Amino acid sequence: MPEPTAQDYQLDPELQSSVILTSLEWVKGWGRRNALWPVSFGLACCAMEMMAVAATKYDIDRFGAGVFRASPRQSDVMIVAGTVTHKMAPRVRRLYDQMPDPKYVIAMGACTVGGGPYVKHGYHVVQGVDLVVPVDIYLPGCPPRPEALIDAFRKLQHRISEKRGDTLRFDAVEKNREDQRRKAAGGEAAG
Amino acid sequence: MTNESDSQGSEAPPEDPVTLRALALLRKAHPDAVVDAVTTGRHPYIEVTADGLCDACLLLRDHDELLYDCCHLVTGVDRPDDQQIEVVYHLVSYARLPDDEYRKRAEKNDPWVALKVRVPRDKPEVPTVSNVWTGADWHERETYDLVGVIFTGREELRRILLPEDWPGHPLRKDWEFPVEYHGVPIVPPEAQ
Ligand code: SF4
Repeated sequence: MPEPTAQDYQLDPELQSSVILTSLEWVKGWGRRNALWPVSFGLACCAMEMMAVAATKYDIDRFGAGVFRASPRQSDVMIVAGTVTHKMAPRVRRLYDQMPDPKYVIAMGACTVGGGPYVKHGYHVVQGVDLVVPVDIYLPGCPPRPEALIDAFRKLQHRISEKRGDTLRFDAVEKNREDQRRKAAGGEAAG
Repeated sequence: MTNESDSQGSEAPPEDPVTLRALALLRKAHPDAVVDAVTTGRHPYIEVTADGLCDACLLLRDHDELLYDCCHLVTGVDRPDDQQIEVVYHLVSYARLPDDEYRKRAEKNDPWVALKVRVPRDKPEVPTVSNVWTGADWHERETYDLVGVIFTGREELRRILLPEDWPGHPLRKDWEFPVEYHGVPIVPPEAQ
């Protein structure tokens, strides 16, 4: 259904030129998507490209996402830029937990999407950050170019305005963990 | 054994003067410490006993003709076929850069002399050299972390790269991937 316009409410012409009608949700989405503040933290080589995106040449501030915050409590989006090691994973999770809702995650680079070059023999690398936090946008590349990160931001903005979110792999892992926990608890109770 | 690819025809491969000099002085001062030496090819080395390591290192550091003032790296190699673990030390000398022979080799990018120690795999204990070169401290911690070599006579041998509660030493050839680590599942390479 198209958005109702002032015409539909038969307002007098004077008001038609001075009043905007919309839904509150839409305004909220608009505000959210145009002021995405990323957490400033990078884990490996991909962080270089993230910094390039924030600098003058690519200037992510044009899309309202240039205010890199030094505290997760002031941020909306986490760009996981780089290799997530098993040692780092709990810290990533903690940063994510400290961010206020609504929060979004961009998995930047092959390492973060699925383990990247380390997926087979890298004993220290988490095989995808979506095993640790729910991911909204996957951005492959080693490293992705700054344009690609801008594209990821634009996609995220679309998602926010469409209020869409699917974090399938993380949900599956979470469910599995929950099942295991329940099984363990049940086993103890039975034993 | 490492130099077949470098030898040309039937000619004997050239000896490495830097290693030869260190070897001669070591043999003179601590004849019992030297087990074996390879002085030709791209990777010449001197193998010493674990007990003689500290003496050898002190000589290499302090002798006027050697002056190896920097421990470039310490690393470990797991050799399950021999039931041995090899610890390798690469030493370089900044004090000797004015020395022609040394500099000629330094320009070819391999200015070091390599020491090796072999220890049994089930009891990989090597005396520390962190009191000879302070810089060896973190290298030893790393070698302990990844290969599981126990360096004796030093403080605080704990992991440096991996988390404290990590299972085992991953550069051992028989190390197995854990199924999961703190709730994060791991797919081992065999299953990929
Ligand atoms: S994806 Fe490539 S560039 Fe990015 S962190 Fe991994 S190795 Fe580095």
